[in-house]
Amino acid sequence: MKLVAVSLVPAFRFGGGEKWQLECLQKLKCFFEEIIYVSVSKNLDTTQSIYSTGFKKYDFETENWGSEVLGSENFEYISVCKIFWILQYQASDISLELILNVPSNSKVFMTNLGCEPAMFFENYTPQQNHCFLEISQFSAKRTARFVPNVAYVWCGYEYKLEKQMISKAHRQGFVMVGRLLPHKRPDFLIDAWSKTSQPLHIIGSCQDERFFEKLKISIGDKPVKIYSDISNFKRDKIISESLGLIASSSSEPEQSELLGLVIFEALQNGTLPIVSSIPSYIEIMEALGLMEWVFECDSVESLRNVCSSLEALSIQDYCSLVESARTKARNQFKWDNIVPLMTKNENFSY
Amino acid sequence: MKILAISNFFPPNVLGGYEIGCHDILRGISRDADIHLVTSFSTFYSHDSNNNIGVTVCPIFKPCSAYSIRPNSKTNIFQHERAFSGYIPENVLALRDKISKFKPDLIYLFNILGIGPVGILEICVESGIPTVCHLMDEWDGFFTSKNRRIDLSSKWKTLKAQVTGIACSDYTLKSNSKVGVFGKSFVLPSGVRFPMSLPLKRSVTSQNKFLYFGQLHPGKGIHRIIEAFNEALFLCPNSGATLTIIGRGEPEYMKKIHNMALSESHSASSIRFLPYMPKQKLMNEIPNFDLTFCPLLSVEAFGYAPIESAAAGVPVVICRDMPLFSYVENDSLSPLIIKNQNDVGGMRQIMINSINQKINLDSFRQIQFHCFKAKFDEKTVFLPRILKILSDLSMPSATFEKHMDSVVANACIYEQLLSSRLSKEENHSGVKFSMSNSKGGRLVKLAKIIENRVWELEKKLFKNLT
Repeated sequence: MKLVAVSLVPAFRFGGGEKWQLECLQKLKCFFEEIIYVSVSKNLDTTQSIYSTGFKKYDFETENWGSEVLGSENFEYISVCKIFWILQYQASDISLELILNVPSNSKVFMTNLGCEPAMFFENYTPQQNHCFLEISQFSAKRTARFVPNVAYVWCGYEYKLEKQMISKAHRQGFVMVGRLLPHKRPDFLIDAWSKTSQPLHIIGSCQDERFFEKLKISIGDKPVKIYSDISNFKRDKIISESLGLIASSSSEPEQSELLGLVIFEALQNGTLPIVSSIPSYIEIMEALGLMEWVFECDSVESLRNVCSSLEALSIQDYCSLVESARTKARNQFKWDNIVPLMTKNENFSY
Repeated sequence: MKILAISNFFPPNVLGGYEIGCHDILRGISRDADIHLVTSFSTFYSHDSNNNIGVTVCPIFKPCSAYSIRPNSKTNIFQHERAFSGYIPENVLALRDKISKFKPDLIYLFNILGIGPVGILEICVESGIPTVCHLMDEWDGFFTSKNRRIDLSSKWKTLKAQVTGIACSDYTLKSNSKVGVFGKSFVLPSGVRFPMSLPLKRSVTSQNKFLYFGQLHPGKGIHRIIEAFNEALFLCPNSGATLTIIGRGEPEYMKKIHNMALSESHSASSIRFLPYMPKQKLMNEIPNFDLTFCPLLSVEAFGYAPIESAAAGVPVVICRDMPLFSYVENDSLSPLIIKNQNDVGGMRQIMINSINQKINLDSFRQIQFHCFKAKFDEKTVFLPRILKILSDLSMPSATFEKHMDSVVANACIYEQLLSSRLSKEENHSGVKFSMSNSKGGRLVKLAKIIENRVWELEKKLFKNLT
């Protein structure tokens, strides 16, 4: 069986959405004869609907998975494929064109990875062979407001990446990991950090120079350091030597976090995650038994209370909390979860 | 045999020969089949009605013209592009619903270009019911046109490979093999009703009443006929020759040919225009003339008019490069053959020869009648062949049940879609069906419940759109 996957997530940048899709496709490679993966080119602005500025033709860049596909050949593949998966379907109305080309007796999966201009559902017509396969219950609930045939799958934890835990006695400070985008709220974190607090490491690149300058100025003499360009090894080292990994995203409607892979990254490095109270983070933390480490979104006081509680944890309690959360993540969020959903011929209803 | 026929237009909604061809074929096979024809909404068919030829006509489709972007229209650019590129979701779902209710043994497609051909063909293939496309026009041109912004040609190609094509000429089959090929294909020239014997000629002496009938379109070469007639009359003044043009067409072209007719003072009063006539009236009118001119283009899919003229006992002038010519090639008819549509000199000479009695039209009408009848007679040639093809392709009723589940489930989605669209515009509180309703043994019952509701919703939706 052949899977054709078209991603409207630009492959040139690397965030949670990009990571999620590539990990899934890697996992699915073992279960399909061939995966044709087509990634959208850099030329396409995925932040707005193409129809808002008139119709544009599009082109694709290919990855080395499956056959080399270009231009109209993509449509040849799509028009005969048995399973078609479109990732980040809401990024552009291209997805509507693509699914029109899929045979009605083939399975069409659509997965949203974060970007949500609302144009898609205006023009979308439900079909029995379509399934919206979302990455969290939160995301599925949002999609189910518009269409039937919605399902969700929890993926994201790779147990093979688990590292040996460092004792809490050898840990110091906190860390934030992720692209420095406004909705991730690094500015809130810096503002909330006091001069006397433990060190805060912020790891992530920033494409908005103004925002980056603003962040650097707001640090002043606080014990906060930003790492824009470091190796994966060094990043993992900083995470594993920190007391907690803080994810402080807010619920901005246009850039809502739909999952929170950063929570798993913390656990893989043996570090407790501390997260803001946005729905997708709560969904994961609840499943991992870590609700105690959720702070009220945008509340400095709540964040400080959670950080203090974590600092006060005994070495043994810290260790058992991480171990328990890792076990739950291994059982509930394994990448393998995607496989039966994509390969079995079943209908979905959320 | 239960046949579901599909055509964008159906008489009295007529665009050209395609619709008349569809009508005549269905009339011919209606004795042997229970036929439902699904067509576009129109002023003629606002609800299901029994046609006088034994076909139930059901208006369920929205033509793509309904998706033109006009001031205050609710159509956005994507919906517009999608419709004009070959996919109209409402029509797809309406057809699914119709298939689930009617349960045909065969689906028979005629002119579908204006109702979203890709979506229509997709549903036919999805249903698993044998599907036959009767080709009397170039469908593939729709997909090779650069005006289509959404490229559905790959899907079209894939779908075509799963259905059967019956082309009215070799040329038509060839022109419909540009974007993929049909899984099975046949060439079967269309049929025309011929009388048992050659009709009597009304006037035995005159040979100077010339005729054109049909669509008034540049591709039909009417301007060339007028040109030839003007020249012939100039060379044969006081001959009493007349040219009658019967039909309707594009206003601009009609204006052009009217002006041409009036431009030459010596012939202006000899050229007469008559409005469109229903077929029976036209067939009664044709024998009042001596010679018909049908200089159709080489890209003409078939050409009913020349055959109808021959059937009415009036000889006809045709071009050597018309697809029709290959069927009626006969040395003794060569005095009535011109090179091509632009062969004004050839047409002029035939007119002069006819006026001057240098050719005997009576012998040609006899040869043509018998020659054309042997190839195109509806009763003895066309119908036995088409019925054989259709019955060989149709499926036994039991097989249909296998496809029922998915078809009805999709009809449920259609009902939900219509409800949700309408509820945006008005406080619509209807019964909602969940997907689970389509499971188990309630399919037929469910289809009946949906039938009434979908029809009501379609009417409302269409009313809102118009």
